[in-house]
Amino acid sequence: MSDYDVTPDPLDKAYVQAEAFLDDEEARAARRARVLAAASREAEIQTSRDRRTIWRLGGGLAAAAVGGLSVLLAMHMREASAPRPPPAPAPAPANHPAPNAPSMEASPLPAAKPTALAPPQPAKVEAETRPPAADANDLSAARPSSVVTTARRAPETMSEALPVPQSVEEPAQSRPVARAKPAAPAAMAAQAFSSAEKATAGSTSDQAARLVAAAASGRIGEVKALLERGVPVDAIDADGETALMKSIRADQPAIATLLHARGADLDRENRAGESARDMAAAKADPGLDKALGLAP
Amino acid sequence: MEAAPATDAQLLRAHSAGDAQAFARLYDRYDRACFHFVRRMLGAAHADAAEDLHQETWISIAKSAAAFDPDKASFPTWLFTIARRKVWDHFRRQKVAVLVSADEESAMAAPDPGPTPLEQVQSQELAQRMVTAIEALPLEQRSAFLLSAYGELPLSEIALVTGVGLETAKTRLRYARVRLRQVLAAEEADHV
Repeated sequence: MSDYDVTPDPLDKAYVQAEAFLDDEEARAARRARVLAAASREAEIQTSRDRRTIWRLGGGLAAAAVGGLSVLLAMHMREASAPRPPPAPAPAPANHPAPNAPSMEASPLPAAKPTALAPPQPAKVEAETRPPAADANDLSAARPSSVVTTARRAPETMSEALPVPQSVEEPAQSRPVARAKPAAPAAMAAQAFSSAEKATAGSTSDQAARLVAAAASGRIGEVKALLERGVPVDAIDADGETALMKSIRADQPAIATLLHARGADLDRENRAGESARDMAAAKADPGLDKALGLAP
Repeated sequence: MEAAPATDAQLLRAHSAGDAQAFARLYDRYDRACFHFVRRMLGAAHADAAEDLHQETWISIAKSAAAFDPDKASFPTWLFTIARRKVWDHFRRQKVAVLVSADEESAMAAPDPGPTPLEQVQSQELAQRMVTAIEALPLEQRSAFLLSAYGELPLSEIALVTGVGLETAKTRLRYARVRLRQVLAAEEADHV
């Protein structure tokens, strides 16, 4: 038996006997009924809260999905409405080449070479928007205007111009356009996201959510930064929980200490009626108690 | 062959899974110990709050059952930690100054009087004198004594519940017993 084991003392037994003398069984039964009824009510509340949380999570996911789809749709529509080159002709049988897609077999060097060496032409967009019929009717005009874009494109065009057999399925005019086009909508989308982020980053609820999330994840630096930026220490998330509550739940005593030192309210209750004090009590961690000033 | 009774942790898990009977069984195991602890810690002046604090303790247990980790502490340790906290919170709300055993040293100044007749409580009156003497103990000594006597916690767990080291817990318990004997012996002398 170690030094630290309690040696049974007759006083202990005497005390237990004393309580037995003083026990009131009727009061005890009434107390039992009250406590169990309250616990049962609590269990029901907990269950309904869990259901609400599931619904809220489901709703959040659905909203996120709808939002994502909307963005994709918007991007797609933007892309669809952007100026397009004339549609590429369907692959023609080898013995009937498409009139507006001269293959290398059809016009090997004479058409390509001068084009590649020609100075950049500002007529690209115009050429792209030109009706296919014009291309179909004027091969000599269509080829330079659609292939030559800028000086940067020249080498590619030159390589295209080399007498490498070019597939009929990949018309020469479709390539430069296909490469150049996505840049615009992508940049616009990125800009849109960036400005949306900027718009929400400063909102109070967003900063509160960030504070609570940082506390739950143990990111003390972020917690400090947000507090210094003026985010209220008792800001709440969707469940009505403060950063202090989250830090206690997540076993983050350092953050709990910091928040307590910054005046976080121990008695504020979340939507389930639990306070940070209750949560700390449930943890039964003497170190945390001391940090929060709860230990005597 | 009879099945082994469910452990506290198993009952808590069952409660978390929605078994109301499990919670009732757990409650029945510790109801008296918890209530007497709360009641004696509060003392006569705050006895009215005992029922509420006892109930609050069990509600906290019910709410946080899923968070209980038997590897960290036994259920009684957890239970008494919560109960003790409820008492301290009550004192704080009531603006009661909690004296942390300022007179521990004085308890040891007088010699331990040894066993007293009150150590065999055989009447209501003796029982009342015993609990009155306990309620007169400094809070930390009282806490250590109650946890040991009725809670049957070992010193290591008393230390955990009260948030102190083993030596401190041991000292408090020893002082509590000495002081109790002193008080009871003095009362006995008065009665004779």
